[in-house]
Amino acid sequence: MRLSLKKKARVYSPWIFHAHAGGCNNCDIELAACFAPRFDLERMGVQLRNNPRHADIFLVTGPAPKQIAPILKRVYEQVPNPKVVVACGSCAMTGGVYNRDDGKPNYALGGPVERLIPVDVLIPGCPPKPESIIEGVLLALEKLREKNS
Amino acid sequence: MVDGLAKLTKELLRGMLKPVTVNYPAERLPDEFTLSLEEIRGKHRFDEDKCVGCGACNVVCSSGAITVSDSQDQRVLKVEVARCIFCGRCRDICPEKGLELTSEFELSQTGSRGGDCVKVEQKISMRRCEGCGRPTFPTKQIDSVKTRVLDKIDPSSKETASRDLEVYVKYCLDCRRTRSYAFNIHPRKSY
Amino acid sequence: MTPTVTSFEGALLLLLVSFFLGVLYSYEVRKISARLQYRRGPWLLVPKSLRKTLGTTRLLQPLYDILKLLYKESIIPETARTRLFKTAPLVALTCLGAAAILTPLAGYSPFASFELSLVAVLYLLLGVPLAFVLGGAVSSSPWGVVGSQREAELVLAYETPFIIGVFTVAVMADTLSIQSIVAAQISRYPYLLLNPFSAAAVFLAIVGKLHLKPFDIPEAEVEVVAGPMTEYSGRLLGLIEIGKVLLISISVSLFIDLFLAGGMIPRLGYPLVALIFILEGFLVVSLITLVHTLNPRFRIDQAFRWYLKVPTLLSALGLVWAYSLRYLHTAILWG
Repeated sequence: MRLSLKKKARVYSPWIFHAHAGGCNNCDIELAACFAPRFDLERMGVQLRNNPRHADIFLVTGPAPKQIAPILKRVYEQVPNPKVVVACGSCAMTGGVYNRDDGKPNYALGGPVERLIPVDVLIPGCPPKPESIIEGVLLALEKLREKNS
Repeated sequence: MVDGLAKLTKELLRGMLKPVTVNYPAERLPDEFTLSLEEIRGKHRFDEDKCVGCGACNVVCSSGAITVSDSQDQRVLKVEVARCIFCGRCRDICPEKGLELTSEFELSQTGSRGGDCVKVEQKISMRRCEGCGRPTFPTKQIDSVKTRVLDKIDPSSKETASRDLEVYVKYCLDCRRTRSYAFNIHPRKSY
Repeated sequence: MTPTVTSFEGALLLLLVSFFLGVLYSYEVRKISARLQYRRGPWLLVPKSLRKTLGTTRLLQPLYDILKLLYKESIIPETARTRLFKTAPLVALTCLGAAAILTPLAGYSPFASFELSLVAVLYLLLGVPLAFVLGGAVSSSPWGVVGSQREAELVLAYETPFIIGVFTVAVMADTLSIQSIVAAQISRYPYLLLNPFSAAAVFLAIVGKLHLKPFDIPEAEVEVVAGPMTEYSGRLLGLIEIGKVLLISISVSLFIDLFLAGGMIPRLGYPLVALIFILEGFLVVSLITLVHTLNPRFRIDQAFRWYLKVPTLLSALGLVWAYSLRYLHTAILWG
């Protein structure tokens, strides 16, 4: 399948913004390990930027407590289109351990990330191994290829 | 200072010629650098024959990822990998060693709701109460409990125990209570 | 003394070749700094199983970055001054485009040799910090303001040894036209050998100019989020990245023209001269990358003080050396 130059450039150079939505930091450490010499995401042209305006992939870790929920939405809106949201770890996907067993809502949780912003790729694991994160980023590249804006 | 520079040059050259990166999707980590495969906690797998459906894993799960739902004919145990934290308590407590955490950790998928994520299921057929018709316990669990009790019980009371077990295993807890005098299995019958 | 353009097509071609060389140099910086850190950089050859989805080679990775940015939407903050915000990258690009045409590459220049081309290039290269300071200041973000302050201070620091070093070369060649300086080196010796002090001073100033460690202070990620470029996104950021690529190409070409005889070794035919120019370019870039990888980042006051100590003294020493060589009437310079 021949890609147009626009889609090719988007797939060959994704820049990640890591949004830390109040987690235990384990997923962040595994994400940092992805850019360390053992698993090097820079081979695929991926750069970890700390500025949402420069990013394509918006990677969220942590369950989003109530205090960070409006901030997460605000930072999400600062990412220019086209963008892909990746929920990394079981906390970002469903609230993980912080969601109660009996189905009642947790007093501190602003919801798993899907209640605040639309999510495209899910990476389960607690924390996901760097290989899982790399696989998730490759899936995000496929999603990015399909977006047309 | 000269041997410092020499050491630096040697390190730099070694770094340039032999990077330690593993080309991930094309190569995997060599075995000596990773936990042995038995120790990686990944996706769950129910052993079809060994699992009896007791639900101990549901009781002990740290994040409520394992749910038990009973219907008229079967009990379904469902593990939501999305909520699991891979602690391994369910595997450790299973009395029949019927649940294992495989080493499959590459579970990413596209989707927009955490609930879309992969789930592992196990279905066990339930036994019905002969008195009221409601489902009681899974048949395999009843058989397993019977075997364990009769193995470990004091040989002097083995015969009475096996006779009583045959009788009241057919009924649910409420029906047992209402019929306990008629069956002569009331706990106070011995004194 | 007005510059005459000998061919417009040549100028356009030179601009494109300069941009392409800049892309290769940027790739080399990323690849070598990754290799020195025991990791691979962007793939030179993608492994076979991934070639369908990820391409065959990532040699043009900086170009893909630029194209991706040019195709993204651009978000402009409401409180920024929009016209100045949009104009700053264009100022940088215009100055850099003109400077790229003026700097001869492997002996070719679309301009006939004219006096003061060196001064013109130095003047135009100052357009880049101007654009950074302007863009950062009007972006209405505290990170931008702090970044542009640091950029202004850094420019003051590194311009001193740069200008003294470059004018030392002009003194040694007795002319201010870059093509004449190259010609003067061809008939005698390259100025890297005759005056290594000025070469070192200009080299250190170029490291600061390109915002590479230890002097990537205005764009330090950990301190100011991206400095003057914090609020830029999408197309405008793409223009700034094009500017960075052109800047590395022009700086390296200028260094080779002034100190390494522009790649022109006498009695060698044209294709070989181009090859030698490119190889010298890769060598200079690898030295710059070595400095970039092996150093942490300075603070702005440390950088300022250091630039006024070591490189300025080196360039002053080079100037004294050049004048003493000249007044000794040695056979080396005057033949």
